[in-house]
Amino acid sequence: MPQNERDGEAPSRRVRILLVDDERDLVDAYTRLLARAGYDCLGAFDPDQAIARIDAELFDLMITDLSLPRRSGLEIIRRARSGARPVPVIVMTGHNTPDLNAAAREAGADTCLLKPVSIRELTLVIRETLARHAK
Amino acid sequence: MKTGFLTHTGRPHPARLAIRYALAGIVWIAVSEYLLAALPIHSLLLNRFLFVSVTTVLLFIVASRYAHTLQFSITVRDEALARAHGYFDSAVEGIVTADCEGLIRQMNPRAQEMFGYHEVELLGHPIEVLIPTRYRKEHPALRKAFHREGRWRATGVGREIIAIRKDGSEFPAEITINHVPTHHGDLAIAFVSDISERRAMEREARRSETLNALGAVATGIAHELNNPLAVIASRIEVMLMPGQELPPELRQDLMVLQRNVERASRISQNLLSLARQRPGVRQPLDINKAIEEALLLVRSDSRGTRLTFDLDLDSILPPVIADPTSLEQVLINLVSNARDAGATHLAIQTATDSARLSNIRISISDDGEGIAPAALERLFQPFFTTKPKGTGLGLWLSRRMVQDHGGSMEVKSEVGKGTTFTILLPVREAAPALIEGHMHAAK
Repeated sequence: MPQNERDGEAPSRRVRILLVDDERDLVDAYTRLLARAGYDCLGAFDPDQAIARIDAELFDLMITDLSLPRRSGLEIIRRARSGARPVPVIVMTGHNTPDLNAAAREAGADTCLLKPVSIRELTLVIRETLARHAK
Repeated sequence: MKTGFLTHTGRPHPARLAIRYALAGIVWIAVSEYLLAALPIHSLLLNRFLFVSVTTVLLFIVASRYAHTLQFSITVRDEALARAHGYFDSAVEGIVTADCEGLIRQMNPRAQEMFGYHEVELLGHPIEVLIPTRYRKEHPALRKAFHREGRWRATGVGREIIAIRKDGSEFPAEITINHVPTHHGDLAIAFVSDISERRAMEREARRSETLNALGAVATGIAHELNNPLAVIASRIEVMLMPGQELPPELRQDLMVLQRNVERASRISQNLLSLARQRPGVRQPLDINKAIEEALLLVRSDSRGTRLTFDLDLDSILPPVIADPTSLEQVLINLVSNARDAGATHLAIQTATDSARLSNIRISISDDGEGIAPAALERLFQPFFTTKPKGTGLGLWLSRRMVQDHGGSMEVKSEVGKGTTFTILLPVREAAPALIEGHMHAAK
């Protein structure tokens, strides 16, 4: 894992991230950028797909938008946090009103980021979040 | 009705009393002869004497009662006149009385103060001297029509006019005209209120309403732009990923795109920071300390420039109830503007406002290039900027933040000399209206 070694980490396996956003273009770009940064990133474009993935697979982290079609991002956050192994959540949204931020935190999100987020900022937050939950 | 106002005493009017007594006298003269004849007195002389004596006594009673009533009525009238003078002299409205020829007969002290004349300067002059020249021609006709109608006129109540002072300056006024018939001809009494302050407040309210609406639209747009910006930014990052084989020119172009996407998102974030800062925690804040902390941040950022600071902070200022982060942001904005305007020296002063002791005044003066009058007018408008890379949001946001604290922010500037920003912040807890506005804005 050359990338992880470069980041100063040496996990036994690649960190698995679920990225939920209805902007396919965005999911596609971030998946490639995160893969480059050494993460295993899977995308979900709608809430149902995201929930199916959360239920079926194991993830180390979830990054999600809040405004999604049909279901609210908050519902997905609660689902991710309620499993036998709660998944840490980072919110990445274009609408970060104080009320929404508070609701996301209440639902169990760790951090709320305002789009656009550079990959450098995102990897930094990912590392911090993982470190916090590893304790 | 009018005489009633002056002589209403609960007693009959002297004139009415006189008629009543005259009637009683006639009755007495008519019946006295029969009454006296009925008496068993046979001397004519004694009969006459009795008639004269009784009449004299009756006349004396009547005269003294009449005199008493008259005296009382005069006292009441004097009191009423004194009261009327009191109303006239101490009225908050200007009162101008004119006769049917339109000549000024009387002006109360408030009217003299309002128009800048002494009463004697205007007595006997046409009332038209109090309105601007452009309206003078048509006024006599209006005035005559008013007197012809001779009663309260709907258009005379609360009508708005433009008035002119002795020094030639004009002001908006509201007038109510009352028509009073007197023995010496009709009088028109005009009650005048200077409404320039009310007009200014209305203008300011409309302006801030417009700005608020504009702000709401701008934050909405910022939100909507964030997703496409994120797509563009992430795609550029993908293309610039290490290991990509790119011709150098293309890489350069992509980096230009990246810088400009960053700039666009900075604009969007600046706009949204307004919404984010609203629920900032308000706490008692030592304004001097806040200034010193903001300067620590600015100083660390102003290396390489020759900006010097001169602080004159009043050490016994009471704390204000404020959100430290947003006030710090305001100060940082002002200092960095001064730096961008080429200032080398910055004087920051805090004091209790001499005009309103419940306010703290912070003034920040720089010796930069100053702001041209045309730019000064638009300075607090969103997206107005004179800097090549400015977002035009810093001062707009700063003023909004200060206003959110119930304060105000003013600017004075002279090209080539420098600029002074003055912030007034109330010392007391936020007023209910402010909190209401705050909640409304947070929805």
